[in-house]
Amino acid sequence: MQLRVVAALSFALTLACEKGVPAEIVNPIDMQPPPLGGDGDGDGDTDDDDPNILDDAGAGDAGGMDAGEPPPEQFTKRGLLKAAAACAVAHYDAFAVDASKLREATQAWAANPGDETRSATRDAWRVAMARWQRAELFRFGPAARAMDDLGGQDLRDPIYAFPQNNPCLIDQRIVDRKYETDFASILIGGRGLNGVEYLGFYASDSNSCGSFISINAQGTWAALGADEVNRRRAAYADAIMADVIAKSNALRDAWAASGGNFMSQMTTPGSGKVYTSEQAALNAVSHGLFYLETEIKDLKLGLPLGLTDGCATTTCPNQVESRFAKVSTDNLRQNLVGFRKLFQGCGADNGGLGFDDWLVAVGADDLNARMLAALEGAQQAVEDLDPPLEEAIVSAPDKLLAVHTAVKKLNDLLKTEFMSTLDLELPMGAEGDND
Amino acid sequence: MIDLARLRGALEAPVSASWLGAFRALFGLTMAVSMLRFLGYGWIDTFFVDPSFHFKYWGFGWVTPLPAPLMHGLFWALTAAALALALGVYARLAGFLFTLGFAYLSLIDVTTYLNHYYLALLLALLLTLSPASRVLALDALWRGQKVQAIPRFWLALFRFQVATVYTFAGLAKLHGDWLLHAQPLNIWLGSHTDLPVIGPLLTLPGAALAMSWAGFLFDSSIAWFLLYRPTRLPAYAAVVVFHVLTRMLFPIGMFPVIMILGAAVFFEPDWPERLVSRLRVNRPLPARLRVPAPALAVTAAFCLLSLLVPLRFLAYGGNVRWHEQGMRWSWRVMVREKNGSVTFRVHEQASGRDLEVSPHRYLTRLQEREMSGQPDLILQLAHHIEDDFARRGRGPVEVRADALVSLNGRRMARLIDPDVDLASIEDGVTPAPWILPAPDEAPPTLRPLGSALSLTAPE
Repeated sequence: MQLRVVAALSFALTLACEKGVPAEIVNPIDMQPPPLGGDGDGDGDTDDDDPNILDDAGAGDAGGMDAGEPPPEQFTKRGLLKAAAACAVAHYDAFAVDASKLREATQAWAANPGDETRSATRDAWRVAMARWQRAELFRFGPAARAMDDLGGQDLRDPIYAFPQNNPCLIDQRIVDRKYETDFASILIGGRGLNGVEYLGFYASDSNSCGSFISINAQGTWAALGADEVNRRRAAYADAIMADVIAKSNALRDAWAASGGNFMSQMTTPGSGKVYTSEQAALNAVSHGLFYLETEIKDLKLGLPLGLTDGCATTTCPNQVESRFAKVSTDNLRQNLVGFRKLFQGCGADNGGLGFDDWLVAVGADDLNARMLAALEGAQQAVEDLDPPLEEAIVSAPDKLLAVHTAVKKLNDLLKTEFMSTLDLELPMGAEGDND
Repeated sequence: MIDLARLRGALEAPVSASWLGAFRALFGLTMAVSMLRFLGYGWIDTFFVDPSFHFKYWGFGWVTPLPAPLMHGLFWALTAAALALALGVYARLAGFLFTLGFAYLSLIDVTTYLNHYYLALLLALLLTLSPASRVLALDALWRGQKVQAIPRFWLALFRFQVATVYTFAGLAKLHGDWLLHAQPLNIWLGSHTDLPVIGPLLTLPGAALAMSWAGFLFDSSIAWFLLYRPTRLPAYAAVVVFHVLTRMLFPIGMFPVIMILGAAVFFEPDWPERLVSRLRVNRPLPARLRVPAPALAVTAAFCLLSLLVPLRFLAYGGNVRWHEQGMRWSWRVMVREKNGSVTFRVHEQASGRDLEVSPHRYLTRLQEREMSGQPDLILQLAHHIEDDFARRGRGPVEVRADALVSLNGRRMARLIDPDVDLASIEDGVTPAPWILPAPDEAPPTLRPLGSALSLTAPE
């Protein structure tokens, strides 16, 4: 609670001091236009972006530093744990604000289905999605999968289920209206922000299921009619957002001192705790960085590019992450901003403690410089992605391939020298003995 | 010239059998705990049940894991066998079944290979073959079949086995990374500076180098100090301290226990009797206990093989820690920190498509970590990918590996020639030209956190 009060005060102070907010920067409270596009400075980030996140992460006992504070004199693992944990919570808090706005929009859309309310839902979704894409990198602790990581509580997937998106499943639920009668039974592919994307952005009267699926084979979809389909889409989207907000609150509660107090577990590891040592806790935090490999490199880029086995044709445009909202490029951009915040620090201008400080503290300045250069390269490749990913996959796959190559370069450093230098362990679910 | 008759006479000289009974009991208990750890930590599923693909040893491709319930049952059975071995209830049968079961487990997947599992297997085999089942064994006591003396041959054989492990573990550290650059200890110790009491010591200048040298000198000489009676007791104390320390610093499971237990074979063979007077033998020992000539011949061959196998790396040249040819079964304990990033590039000949295949499509993360630094495993997965594509009607394919590896903190370098179609390569024992040479550069020296030099402003 203290942290949030400090964050709110810091945010208000930052707003008061700002000369102006660039149009592309999100103001999570004032609901400014969504954070689509970079600031053109090459880092893929937005200038002074997201003051509430920045100040949250550096505030109080977060172990990081506020903008303007002198740099820490000594790197400590405990400090990095505090900074990373605070940064994660700040991202979840910021998302909660945007998710609430989105819920308001879906409520309005459900109450009064129409182009205007749907358009407002789309705008709110873009903002919330951009926010969540940054939080994706903080997949440690309660957000992590229980079977993959110590402390995992599976609280990420219900908020955003990528890559388990399942439009046909959503269409089936539109017909049987389980979103009203039995939401809990709906599989993960029919929930979350990806579900709202489909419901809000796919405006066709048709559905995404094959002709052999019962809603088409039995004609139950066709019997609904366009107006009823749109009404149900709005209602379903609102039901999903109610669930997303509940899960978002559960995630924040899991960290809060008044709830699961995972913050304490992460920042004071020891015997009998989830993490028995600071190194073990930092292992878990570092696993968040591996979003770069599995999700970004393989799923968001490799799969639609036809590089991976899951794509049976030359390219697979239908595997693009946000193909309905067409914000896949910005998803990548926000992911890399999240990566930078976790790697470099969550404070203003990426100050505060990050893994980069750890590398410098042990004398691996060269590796740190190469990783930052590789990150810079990946972010620049995303900025250079013109046209957007949804079009580039068809008209300019080479440009998308350049993004993939740049991301792989960073990923190679992450999996090899970074892990070796800091003696971190790859995410493995369970580790056996060694010798 | 070795006087074989005199040597045979020395090996057939009777010694108290109590050391062997005590060793069997303690080893059995240790193995029982080891099996229970697998059950308790969920490693049976992680290592044997969950993976969809297993890396095979050459010639043992037919060894596959049992269904999950049977796999769990096997571990319970091995626990029971280990306990029976410890108690001395049908100990030879128990030892045989344990050896067989543990060998089966060891052969399922190469990525589960650990030096101390290999040692445990050898010790279990030696115990099964030895007269241990009739010494300090419950069933022997019930039947009144007390074996009080055995030929010195068995003591020499167990001592040889333990000395081999220590000595080769020491020789494996005889290289620049370990002795000049203190790697990989420099990396590993650096992540333990937050430990109470020990942690601050690890931040002292030269701590990693001092510990590297200490480790090298300890491993390569401790067997001799244990053999020599005047230094035996302090040497054993050093063994205990060394292994307790390594257990505190590294996740090496039962290895320290096995080695502390193993080093006890260097004590006088009647040491249990000296500790527990009721075990004392009152009857005089026989003058000589015959060891059949074939047994001596087989043992000589075993010993020769035990020396040659760890030395086979010399035939390959290069850096064994990089190319790994001659790495396994050589007691190269904790000598490398290796992390790799491997992507397979598959070319479908019919369609002309080029695909990237991430190892985790087939492997668990744990398997992937092990494979990433071991060329023969990379080759094995390349063949599996080839087979998988063929099975799905998408063959033939060419499979190349984009394998970048960091050894002991060095800059990453290519481990495999990226132009070689691994699908066309058969694994063998000859030097592998598709493995690229190790990087020439020296490994980095890192500052441990908390040391004076790391107290600088990071940004």
